[in-house]
Amino acid sequence: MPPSPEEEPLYRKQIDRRLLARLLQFVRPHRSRLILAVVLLVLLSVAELAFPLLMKTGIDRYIKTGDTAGLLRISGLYLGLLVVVFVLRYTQTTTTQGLGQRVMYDLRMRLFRHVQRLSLPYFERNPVGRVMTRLTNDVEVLNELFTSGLVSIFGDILILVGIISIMLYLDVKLALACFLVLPPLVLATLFFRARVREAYTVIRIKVAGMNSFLQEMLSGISLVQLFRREKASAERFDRLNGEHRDAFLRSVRAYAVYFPVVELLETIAVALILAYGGSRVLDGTLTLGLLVAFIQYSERFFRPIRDLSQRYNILQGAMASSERVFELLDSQPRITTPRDGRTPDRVEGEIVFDGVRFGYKPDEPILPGLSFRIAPGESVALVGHTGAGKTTIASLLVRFYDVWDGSIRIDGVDIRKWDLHALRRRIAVVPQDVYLFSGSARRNIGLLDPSVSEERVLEASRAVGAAPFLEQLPAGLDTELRERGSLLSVGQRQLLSFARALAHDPSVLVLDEATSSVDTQTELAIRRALRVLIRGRTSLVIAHRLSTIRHVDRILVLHRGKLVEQGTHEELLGAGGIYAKLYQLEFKIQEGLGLDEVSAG
Amino acid sequence: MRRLASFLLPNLSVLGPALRRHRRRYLVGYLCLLATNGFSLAIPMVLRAGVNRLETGGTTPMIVYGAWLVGLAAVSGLFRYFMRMILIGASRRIEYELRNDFLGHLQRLSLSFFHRQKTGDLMARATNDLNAVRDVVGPGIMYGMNTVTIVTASLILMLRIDPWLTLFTLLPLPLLAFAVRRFASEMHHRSRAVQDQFGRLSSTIQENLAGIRVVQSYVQEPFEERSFEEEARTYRSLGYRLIRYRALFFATMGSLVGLLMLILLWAGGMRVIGDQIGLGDFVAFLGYLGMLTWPFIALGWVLSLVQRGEAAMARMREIRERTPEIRSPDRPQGDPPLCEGRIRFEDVRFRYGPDGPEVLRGIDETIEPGTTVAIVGRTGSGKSTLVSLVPRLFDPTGGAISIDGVDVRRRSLEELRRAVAVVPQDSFLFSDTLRANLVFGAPDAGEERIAEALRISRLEKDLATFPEGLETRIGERGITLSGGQRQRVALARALLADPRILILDDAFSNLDKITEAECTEALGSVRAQRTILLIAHRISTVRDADRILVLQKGIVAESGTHQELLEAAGIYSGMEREQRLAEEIERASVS
Repeated sequence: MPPSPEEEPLYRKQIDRRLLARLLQFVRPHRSRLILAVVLLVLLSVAELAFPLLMKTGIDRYIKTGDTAGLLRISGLYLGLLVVVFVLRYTQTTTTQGLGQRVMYDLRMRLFRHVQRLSLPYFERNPVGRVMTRLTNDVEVLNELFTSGLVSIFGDILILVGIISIMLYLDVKLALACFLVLPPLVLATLFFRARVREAYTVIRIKVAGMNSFLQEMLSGISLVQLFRREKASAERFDRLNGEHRDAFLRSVRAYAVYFPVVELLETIAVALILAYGGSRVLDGTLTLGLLVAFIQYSERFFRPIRDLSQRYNILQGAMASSERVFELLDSQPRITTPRDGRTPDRVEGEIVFDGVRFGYKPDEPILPGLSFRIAPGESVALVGHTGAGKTTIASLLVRFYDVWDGSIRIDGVDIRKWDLHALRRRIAVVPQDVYLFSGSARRNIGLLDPSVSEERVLEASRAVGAAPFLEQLPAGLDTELRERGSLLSVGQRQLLSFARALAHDPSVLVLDEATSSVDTQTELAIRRALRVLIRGRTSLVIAHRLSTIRHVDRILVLHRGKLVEQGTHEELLGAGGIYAKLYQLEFKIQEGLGLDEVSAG
Repeated sequence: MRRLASFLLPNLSVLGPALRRHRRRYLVGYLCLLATNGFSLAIPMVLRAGVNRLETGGTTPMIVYGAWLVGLAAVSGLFRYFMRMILIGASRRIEYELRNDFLGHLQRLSLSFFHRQKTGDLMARATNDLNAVRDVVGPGIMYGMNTVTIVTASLILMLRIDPWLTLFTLLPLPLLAFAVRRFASEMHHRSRAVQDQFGRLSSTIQENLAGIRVVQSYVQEPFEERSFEEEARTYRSLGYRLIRYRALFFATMGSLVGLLMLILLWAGGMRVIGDQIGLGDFVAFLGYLGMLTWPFIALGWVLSLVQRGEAAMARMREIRERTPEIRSPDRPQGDPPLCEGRIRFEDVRFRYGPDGPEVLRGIDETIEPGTTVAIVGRTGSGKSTLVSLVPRLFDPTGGAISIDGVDVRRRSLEELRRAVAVVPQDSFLFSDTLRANLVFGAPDAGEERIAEALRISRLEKDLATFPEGLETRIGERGITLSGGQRQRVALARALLADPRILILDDAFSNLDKITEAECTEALGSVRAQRTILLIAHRISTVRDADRILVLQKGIVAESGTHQELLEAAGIYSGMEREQRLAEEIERASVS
């Protein structure tokens, strides 16, 4: 089944103050930078105001009077200002955008660190793609907020306050006349915002619909082709796509109406100043210069208002992302390391399962109460049918999950009292499916652990018999392997995974044997490697084939999560129970497949 | 012009036909753009007249100027409204067309393509990349047009006043063109570096999450964090690099008009002083230069849009221009028609990639019409691959498959696939109503046939429990079906398509034994009219087949009836014994 597209809130009604406050927390360490950015923005606006002033002075004082020296001087001044503005603009942009980069970096690191600590059930509930989106796209969206949003909003507000003060200072009545257009402007903006929000809600729904259709169609593409539904599905997509287009056209209309309306209102303000102020100029209660200045200020007055209404959309988009990001940050790891957890220097490796009850779903225990003990240095194999709960035991030992009831003890101490990292460092699990990181074979064996030396990697790969084929790779151990790379066969990947475990020299080894069949030669190599691996450490082999476990000290037979038989190979064969039957069954199959020589060898 | 476009923007230039299709929209939109600019231009003139009236006196009441201003703004706004609606609307329409094309093409591509391509990547191309292209044909063209128009208009107006001063003032512009080209290519490199690093960052996260078990059980978190930190830091510093450059670019564009004004102030001022032009001309010049401020800033923005769009279009073209590997032949052979269903495999060989292992290593078999042939074998023995070659989900890399005497590659894909229905392993269903899923391959199937298919696939009882019967939605926004139910729906879907050849690829694996037996029995009624290929693991499922093929490592290791194979005491009989024993053990341990 394809992963279902994310269920996410399609949009948020309001800008959530709490979310915003939390977001600002991430800016705090960089607040001096934020303040600098805002100050630069204000300085920039002020400096830009000076250009018309210089030009006016140049015309009135020097050009009109024919003063060439003065003209040169004022031109020099103009050039100086130009340079200042250039530098201001450059610094302002780099400061603001740099702020965004820094906050993004912090946020990403924080998220990544957090994710590392989350417990396995979280990853089972949340597909990789979804968690990844939080760290990639959602963080990028927030960057938009920090760079285009935050600084500009502060800047706009400051400029607005400044201009309003100047206008009021210059002439209260004229300023109030100009502000007459504010109520309709606010109304228009509110109306516009409601329309745009409406349109975007519909758009998001349509986009989600289109995406899930695409996703599903791509997942089921073979059926579409086999049942010749290409045309029908194209028609269906056409409908979704058309609805998406129409929803967008509605938002285009909202913008197409809003911008001209704002411009009209701005012009009305100018007309008011001209008509009312003009009549006062004629009365002699106002100077012409002041009127002209007012007209210029009114133009600058509207710009931040218009910008603010635009930024609102950015803010809104960021809300959805920040909510998802915080949701991730708020999800707590279920399995945590205890305070003052045990971190012994030496681990003997005694393992005790004491009445362990566990299941993945409530009311469906897989292990209804399992007890057994493995002595230090002993090697034990677990056998039983698929679904008997064998693999679960490995996951419980390293605390990927915690038991419901009972306890697991290592060296006599409940594993929940161990320091989580100390525990996991001493236990190596070789899982059924080998996960390969992209990177060299070396990186895959040593992982990124600097304490695993080059020699250890080599030694381990030699010991498990992985060295011969690894050295034959194009670049030897430095050959890049890929997750689904076809460079290594299933069996070879197994051996590499053995080498990985051996290189980390654990006290306890848990080997979950792969179910997939491999060729005879690899099979033999795996058996040999296994013998090397279990030597000198407590080992638990979860066996899917009995032929591999002849060399263990003891065999535990599980059925439906319960221990039903135990003993050595010979003892169990003699008892004639389940093990004997399983063995007989496998022996017969091998006979059928012509594998007798292998088990003999 | 066209040649120049394809030289400068090799990828975006493929949009030519789409733009031509909407040329009337672009033309009318452009006229609106001219009109709105024309009327806006008149506003400062009225304003000046108003101020002049105050200065020099006159009889016109001030309110008249105010009324003129408002009137002009209203008309200009009206045209601006139409401009946006038409030009941005056109881009939304082009986006819609491109997306439909993209999907249509995607559907024709062969399965091997989808095996190589990640779904997420394809979706990204259909959404993000397409949006970037749309931004070029929408706002990109609109603001581009605006800039060109205003620059041309002010250039003409300035030239009329004083060609010399114009030349002088605009002296830095060729420099600008040069700088833009340099900037553009450098910026392209830098943003490419950022994008690539973003990709690395994403795959680091992806790998870490996918391998979280290994990471946590080997306590690799600190080292993973360090390696991630490195990637994140590189991403940040590449980001800085891009930002610095971009800031330089935008600061330059933003200061450009200031520079022109500076030249005007000095050179123009000298000319006024030298009496070559009047002060009024100077002021007019100033106005025209002022008009250029916003267009120049917009130009920088448009250029970055175009650049992004160009990269996005390249990614779209990678898919759009890929020819499907498997397609109908130009002149399909329809004689003899596909009506019997005799399948012939002749030395069929197959490998998934050119360097992959051979999955099928020479299959030679004939399946007689109307027979049921079962295929058994271990995982990876090539069973599913073999049957997927019949409806041409893949083509063999060696040998040939023919149906009723004609190579499947020479038949029309339509005819072939109409004759073959598959019940796939994963029994994929679409999130739609149950009915829509059932009639997926036979949109006009009547109620009677649906009822028949439901009967054979034993879905009648389940249907009674569904809240809205056949109209019940299943999947994502509907009810969840059990694995067994899904398989039976998939079976009914295939039956409704009424195929000559029915392929059941491990289609009963999730059914309990009783239901399976019921299904197999019910299938008996349709067996005679169809050729059936049946992949299964349970001996009970295949024992009644007319013939059983045992596949091992890509070749047919044994074949015959159930009885014959048992007597041969080979792989098949081993499997049979294995299953019998397993059942025994199960019984023994339960009791």
